[in-house]
Parts: sequence; C-alpha cells; structure tokens
Amino acid sequence: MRSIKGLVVAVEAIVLLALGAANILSGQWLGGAIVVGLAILAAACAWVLWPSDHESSPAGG
Amino acid sequence: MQPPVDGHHPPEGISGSELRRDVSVWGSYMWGYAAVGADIYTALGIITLAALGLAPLAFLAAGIVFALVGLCYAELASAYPLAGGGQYFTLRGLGDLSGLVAGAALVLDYTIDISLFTVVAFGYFNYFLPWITFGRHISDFTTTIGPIHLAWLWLVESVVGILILIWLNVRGIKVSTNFNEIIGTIAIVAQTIIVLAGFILVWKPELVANEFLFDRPSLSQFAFGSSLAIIAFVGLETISQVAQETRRPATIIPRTSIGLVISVLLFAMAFSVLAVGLVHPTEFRGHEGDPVALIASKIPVIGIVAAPLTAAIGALIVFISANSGVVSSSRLSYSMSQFDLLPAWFSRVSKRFATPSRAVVVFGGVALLQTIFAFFTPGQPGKSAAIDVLADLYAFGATTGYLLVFISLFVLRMKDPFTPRPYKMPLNIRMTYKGNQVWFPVLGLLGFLGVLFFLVMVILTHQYARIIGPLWVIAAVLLFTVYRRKRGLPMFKTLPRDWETATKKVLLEAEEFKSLEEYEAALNEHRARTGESSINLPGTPR
Repeated sequence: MRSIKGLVVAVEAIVLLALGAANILSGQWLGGAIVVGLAILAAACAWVLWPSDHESSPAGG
Repeated sequence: MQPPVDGHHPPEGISGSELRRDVSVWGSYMWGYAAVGADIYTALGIITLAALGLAPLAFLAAGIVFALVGLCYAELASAYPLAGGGQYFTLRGLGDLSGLVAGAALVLDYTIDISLFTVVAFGYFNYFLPWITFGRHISDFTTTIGPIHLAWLWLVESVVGILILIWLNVRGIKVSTNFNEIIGTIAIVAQTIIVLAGFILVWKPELVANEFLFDRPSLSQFAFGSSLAIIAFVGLETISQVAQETRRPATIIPRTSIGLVISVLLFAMAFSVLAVGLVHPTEFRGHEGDPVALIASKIPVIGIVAAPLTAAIGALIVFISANSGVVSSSRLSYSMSQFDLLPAWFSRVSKRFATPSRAVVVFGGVALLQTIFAFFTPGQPGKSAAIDVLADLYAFGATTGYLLVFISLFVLRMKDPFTPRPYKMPLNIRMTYKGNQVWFPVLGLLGFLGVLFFLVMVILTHQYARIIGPLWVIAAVLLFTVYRRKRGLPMFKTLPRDWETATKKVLLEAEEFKSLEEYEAALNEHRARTGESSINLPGTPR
C-alpha cells in the first residue's frame, strides 16, 4: 500500500513533466511553466512518499 | 482515543508515559493526512469563488506560510515530543496564560473543523440526492424564513453526522490505521487520476492566462480569499499531537512533516490551477459543498464515472477529517486541563469507555451549535450561507495559535538551547544570548510575519471571525481565572514545573539516547560555566 502512493505520485510527476515540455514546445510558456512547477512538486512528493528499507512496519498509527 | 497524561504534578506527570510509542513513519504521515488530505475537497470551491482567477496565487500564498508553520512544528515536535502540540510549545516557551490562549484558539478551530467538514461531507453526499429523490437537488429542500434561506435537509444531515461523531468518540471507536491507510491511498490515487486526466484532456493554459489577466479579484477579495485558503492547510500540526506516541520522534517527525507539507501543497496547487483552466470561477456557485466532484464531472470520457466516485470518496475522507477535529479538540483540552489551564472536569476519563467523554461531548456540542448558527444565518436567495459562515470563522484560531507558536520558537531557541533539536528550521543566524550560543531562525521570522499578515487579514475581512474568535478566547481566559481562583492557584503566574526532569524522562521514553546524552552534556557545560542550577524557562523553579 505504501509503495502505491509513491509510485502513483511519481507517475504523476513524469506525466506532468511531459505535458509541461509539450506546452513549452508549442509556445504555451505560462502553461508550461505552471505544469513543470507542479511536476517538480510531484517529484519531491514522490521522493518523500517512496518507502525506504529502514522504515518500520506499516502498522503504526 | 487514549488520553495523554501530561500532568501538573511535576515531574512524573509531565512526560506522560502511559501513551505507548507505536506510531511509525507511515502511521505519523497518515495521521497528518487524515486531518489535512481532505482539506482541498472542502477549500477549493470557497476559495476559487473568493479569489477568482487568482485562486492559485491565494493557495500559494497560504501554502508558503503554512509550509513554514509545518517546519516550525517539525522542529518543536521533534525537540519536545509530547502530546498537546501548539498549546504545549507555547506553555513551555511563554507560560501558562499564553499557553491557554494558544490552546483555546486551536480548540476553536478544531470545533469549526468538525462543523465545516461535516457540512461539506454531506455536501458530497448530496451529490447523490437526485438519484435517491428522483431528480430533486438539495436546493429543493430549502425553506425561507425571512432573510434566512434554510437548507433544512442539509442541516438535519449535518446534525446527525456530528452526533454520530460524538457517539463514536465517546464510545472510543477509532478509525483503524489500516482503514485510514486504505482511504488515504484511495484519495491520493483518485486525486492523481483527476489531476492527470484534467490536465491532459481538458485543461486550457490560455484560459488560465485569461483568468490571471482579466478575472482578478479586488485587493480585499484576494486578502479574504488567501486568508480562507488557510482551510486547505490547517491540520499540518496534527503530527505534533501524536508526537508522544511516535517511535523515534526525532527521526520520524521531521520527515513526515515535510512529506505532508509537500503532498498537501502539491494537490492544493494542482487542483486550483486545474480549476482555473477548466471552468469559470463563478461555476462553483452552488457547488461549495462538492467542488472536486464538479471538476471531475467536467473531464471528458472519465467524468461520468469519476464525478460520482469523487463525490463518494470526498464524502468519506472529509467526514474522517471532521472526526480528526473531534479527536484533536478533546486531546488538546485534555492536555490543557492536565496543566491546570482548564478545569480538571475536562480531563475526567469515562470509566466505562476509557475516553475523555466530557471533552468530546462539550466540544462536539459547541460544533453542533456552530453548525445550527451557520445554517440560520441569512444568505443569498436560494442558497444556504452555512459553508460561507463556517469558512469565515475558521482562520482566526489557527492564525492566533500559530503566531504564539512562532514566538515560542524564538523564546525556546534563546532560553532553552540545551534541549537537542534533531531538526532545525533552515537558515539560522548564530548569536550569543546570556553567554549561550544560540541560533536565531530567519525562516521562523518570515513565518511569524506571514502568519501575522494572515491574522490581520482575517480581522480586516472576516466579519464573523473577528467577533466570535476574540470572544471565544476571552471566555476561555475568564474560565481560566475563575478556575485558578477556585483552586487557590495564581491567576496570571506560570505554575512551577520541572522541565529539566520532564525533558530527560521524555527523551528516555522515546529511546532518543543520543539526544539525552547531548542534553545532559549541554546542561552540565552551562552549569560549570555559569554556576546557575536551573534553566531559564517560564515556570522553572529557582
């Protein structure tokens, strides 16, 4: 379950980055900049949500 | 809910060893996400209607300030890993009266959280009303009493919803971690699908540019909208509420806090940008209760399935978020009464259910009254004013509480440089204060100014919050003085507490042995240099 969140947001980052690049290439600078900004935020989010080996069990909470 | 046992009988009570430390990285994150992840489902419509084409900037302004609040809480919660959150940090930094004001302000917001999120949860539920009532919408279940346009069915649903939350919390029935985890994951996946499908299939960057340029709000509208945007981020501090139950808090809390800040900021920005490039802001009128479902319905191909699915998920996670308001208000008031800031009556635990049932009933009751008040407030014809009134009320408590927490951050950095801070807010200036080397937090100062700005905006532009917020705090201070007088305790003086022993005990219980060694070494060095026997914090016995 943990890995799904990180994976989904990582996919979101990649797709947004591609969309942002497409916008920039088609001359939509504002739209491109906004979407690339969101892609960077999504990449940071995916990095934080990505499970690492040293984490404890998912049961806590 | 297991109540914290922080006590006023120093030093045994302060550290509260009855709370088991079994919250992991993911448990800590999901606690925060349960409180904050649903906020965008509530905030999107209200804020887009207020800030129009500049709604994304309103979210960004509030998001930056709240990122700083999140970092401040990450520092304080990892340094002082006890239940109580902002109230506890303020009590420790500034003393009893300030701790009371911060606690009262935050409790007010939690009670509004219960009201607002329950109302919005049923807003999403009412998406399905035409399916049940053969085409009738919630606006068809409205009656007009003079200037009041009472959405009576929505009011009945909300009252029943709050009563269910009170019952669940009095009985001690918790949202299980696994359930929380599943719902959180579904929410993130659903939000991602809507964001991606919306951006790919239907988002128009030229519409965003047009909105930015030609659909700008006035300055006061933008100020109102950005101060409302606080709704999208309040709850970030929930992680500090469970700090006492978190394993290895020094390691875990900073990471989960930063993760929560980024993920909440991501979805708040993505949805607001998507909204502005997808529909005209005024289309949210009448959809304040189900704004994300409106966005989903506009997406071609998947919209027909995504909209009802979004409404169902929205109803569920917003209701869970309302529940976190009940948990937080009772947890906080319990902690306050343990420190003699509120009468011990609030901390009485039900013998039958082992829950702080009195606090749950009182603050759930307050939420109930607020909801009724909001529904009976006059509004525009054909439209209930409930969400507008509750949203207006929301920001006063958070901004007041966070302002005091930032001041406490400065004071604790100066007066208590001995407690190890496994995480410090970035950007600090080294200086000497009373012979000790301390670090002044530059980002903390920016956060303080940002929160102060929002508090001023709330007072200037929120017609209900600027009256009810201060009245609530004054009522809490009056209750405090009456209670202290009755107990024969000093009314405006901070009670003596042995923070040093408490800190050692907390670090030991949290198994933060390295921090404990650092703390003892710093104190010994200070004592050897100055000859002083105690640290200089409010309430520390001389």
